[in-house]
Amino acid sequence: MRHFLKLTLDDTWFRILLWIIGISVLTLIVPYAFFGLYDDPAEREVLRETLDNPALIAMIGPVPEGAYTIAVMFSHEMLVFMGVIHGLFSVMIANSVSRKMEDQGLIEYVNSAGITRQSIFMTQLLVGVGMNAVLGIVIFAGLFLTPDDSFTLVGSALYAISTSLFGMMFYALTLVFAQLLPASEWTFGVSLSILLLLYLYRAITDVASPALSVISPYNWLTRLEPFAGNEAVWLLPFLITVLLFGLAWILFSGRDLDDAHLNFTMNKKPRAIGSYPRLMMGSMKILVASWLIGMVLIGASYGSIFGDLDAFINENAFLAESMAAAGEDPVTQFISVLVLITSIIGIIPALMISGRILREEKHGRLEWLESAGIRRRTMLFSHGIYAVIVGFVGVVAAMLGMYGASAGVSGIDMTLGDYMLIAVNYGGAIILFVGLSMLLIGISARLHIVVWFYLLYAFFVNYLGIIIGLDDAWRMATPFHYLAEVPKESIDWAAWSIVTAIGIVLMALGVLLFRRRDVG
Amino acid sequence: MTVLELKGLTKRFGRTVAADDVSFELREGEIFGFIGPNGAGKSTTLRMIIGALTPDSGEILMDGTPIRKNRHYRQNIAYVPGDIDLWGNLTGEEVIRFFMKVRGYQDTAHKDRLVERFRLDTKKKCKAYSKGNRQKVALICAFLSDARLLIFDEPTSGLDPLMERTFHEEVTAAKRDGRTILLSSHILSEVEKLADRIAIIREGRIIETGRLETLRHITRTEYVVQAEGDLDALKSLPYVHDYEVTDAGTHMRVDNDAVGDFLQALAPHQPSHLESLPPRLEDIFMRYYEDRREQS
Ligand SMILES: Nc1ncnc2c1ncn2[C@@H]1O[C@H](COP(=O)(O)OP(=O)(O)OP(=O)(O)O)[C@@H](O)[C@H]1O
Ligand SMILES: [Mg+2]
Repeated sequence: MRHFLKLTLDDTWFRILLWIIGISVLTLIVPYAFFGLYDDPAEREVLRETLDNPALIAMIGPVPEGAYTIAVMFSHEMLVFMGVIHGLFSVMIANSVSRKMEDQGLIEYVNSAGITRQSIFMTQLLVGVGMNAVLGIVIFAGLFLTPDDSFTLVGSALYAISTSLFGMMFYALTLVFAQLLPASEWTFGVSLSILLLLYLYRAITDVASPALSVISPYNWLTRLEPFAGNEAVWLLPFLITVLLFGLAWILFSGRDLDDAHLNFTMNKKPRAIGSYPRLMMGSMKILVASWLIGMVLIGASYGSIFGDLDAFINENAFLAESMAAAGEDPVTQFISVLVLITSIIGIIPALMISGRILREEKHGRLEWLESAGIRRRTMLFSHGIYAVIVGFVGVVAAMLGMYGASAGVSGIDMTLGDYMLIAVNYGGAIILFVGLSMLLIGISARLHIVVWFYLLYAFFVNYLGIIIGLDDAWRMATPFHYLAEVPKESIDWAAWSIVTAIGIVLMALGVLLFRRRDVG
Repeated sequence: MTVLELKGLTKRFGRTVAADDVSFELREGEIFGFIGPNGAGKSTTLRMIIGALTPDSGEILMDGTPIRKNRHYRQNIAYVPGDIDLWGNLTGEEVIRFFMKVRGYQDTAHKDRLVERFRLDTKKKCKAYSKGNRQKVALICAFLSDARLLIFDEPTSGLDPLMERTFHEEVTAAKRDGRTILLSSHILSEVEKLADRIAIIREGRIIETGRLETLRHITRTEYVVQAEGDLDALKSLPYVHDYEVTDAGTHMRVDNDAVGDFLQALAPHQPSHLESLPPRLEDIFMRYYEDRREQS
């Protein structure tokens, strides 16, 4: 088993390390962003008031009771969102050490070399528990050492333990799906969907009926109230992880390798694939379909709270007046925030599609395809263009979801056309990100990860910009600083053209470089 | 006529010099064996030919024109990589059809014949294929094409002996059709069977090129001797190696450039039976490496 553990870690340690560093840094720098901005309790109280509205409750969860210290503020604003990130980390690694390894024939190989099923499963389990434990320890230490008295021992421990357990739970869940589903794409897709659906469920119920929210694990995190109530009892539901691991083991030991408990044998007739774009689209069908569905759901869940938003504003005459005085319509203000976040999420599938060409390269197919006369230029362009199309269609789908779910709400005068203009506006950002992705692919396969960090950065500074009013200077390195905040503002076509043009130039550069570089 | 010419190709990966001043040429209609141990630089060289890697220096000419100046040169090449991961969710049939479409071939009868010959179950998804089956898919695609130059990177490393024979027959048939074949391998007996000429590469450098016969000056021949007297005296001669007594006689390998001396030394022992086994490429390697070791 030690050999298999070593083999598995050889393959994944670098990714695990990057994730642990990334998540830790992301978590631990945030309190420092608060220092200076929110040292004064009165200022924090004002912030708490502004966070107590349906749009932000949907994004980050309900506002806690009691004193709003820096630490409480930190966990209130971070915990639910970081849950998604911790979950994503676990889903990706769990998939890569289970179904993906199996798809590549590695599991069968080691099994035939005398490594037992128990050892294989134990290794997978150890990797998941180990990596989440290390991450938990780092975060615990980092939080506890944060130079502010509100970061208590118990609070820091609860924050770290709960996020670790949250990660482990999704790790175990992914292992279950790895046994049930026939391919790593499916395992990843379904696990990720559940991670996101539970988030959306929480978003809707936190606004509409908080009691029902408790079904979602994200709500357990909220109810723990680290640094405030410290309700450790909400760690108990995470015991379900043990059951999930047990179930995964039963399912794993009860099936053949390379088999799955659910099998979808579709189209027996061989498909006639005659070009690279068709080959590419065929290989990403599941990915694209599930993202489009996901985008509709994201749009619809945000749309479904518009009614509460309207009611909220009517109740808060003071807020409405002060915003009206500043020349802002509170409803469009909130919608602008929600569509910005939705659009940034919509960039994720676009980057996945453009980055997919690296998989062709890694598996040695790119050089084979090229030797058969398909040009690299064609291949990279296909990925880039498809990425932009899917990214754009995804945002359109989210807007349709939002429009549909809020159609019955009276206080909102947004036409379908307004929603489509939003998609066009943020389409510029999609092109820019895909352009950067293609440029990096053109330079080197290893560099592509940079675009993901850039997206994470963009998401984070915008997210914090919205929540805590982080200095706008941070956003200047992202296209969202320049693009208009629709529908609050109308589209700034000059800025839009420049962002789009930069994106197109980056794409072209990427293709030029890609034609020349070594592949494989 | 020269189909492909490599002139002083050098490729570095960081500090490793994967190919160091590699030069050889392929003549039309020949099978050219390219052999060397693991990590010698075979794949690197082949991947420079197909354009996946750009040489740091040196030049590749196809039909006399540098490939940099003729982007369409790949139309004349079919390449089978050493190890390939196919698209897991496509069946073998779909991959082969895709290649036919992309390269514009319609001869499905030819395809069916090759599938039959290689005994490939093309209805299965590629992710269920073993290494050998994946290789078969790539081989079928290559034999199916009408490319004039076929490049194989260790094509038989995953094939069973029966399939290896099928492969040899197909290569021979391709040669009969006038196609040129570049075949890399570290299985020396295979190259020996097939190749007209060979190049031997080691640590990125070509150490020998030529027809098999002309390489014999650095080979050894294995002799089996039966004699009345005691042969042990031969054991200590500098040109006798791997001396071994068995039931069938005494085996020894003798440097080919010392055969005269050897026979003279053998005669006094009154041999009753003398049998020679054909030289093998293993022996070329053995002797080459031993010489090097002595020099250094
Ligand atoms: N992309 C790369 N990056 C770094 N080093 C490489 C790369 N490709 C090859 N090498 C190194 O170059 C040397 C030659 O490798 P190459 O794959 O050409 O050998 P080979 O003769 O094909 O060996 P084998 O019989 O094992 O296939 C090796 O030392 C290898 O590690
Ligand atoms: Mg090789």
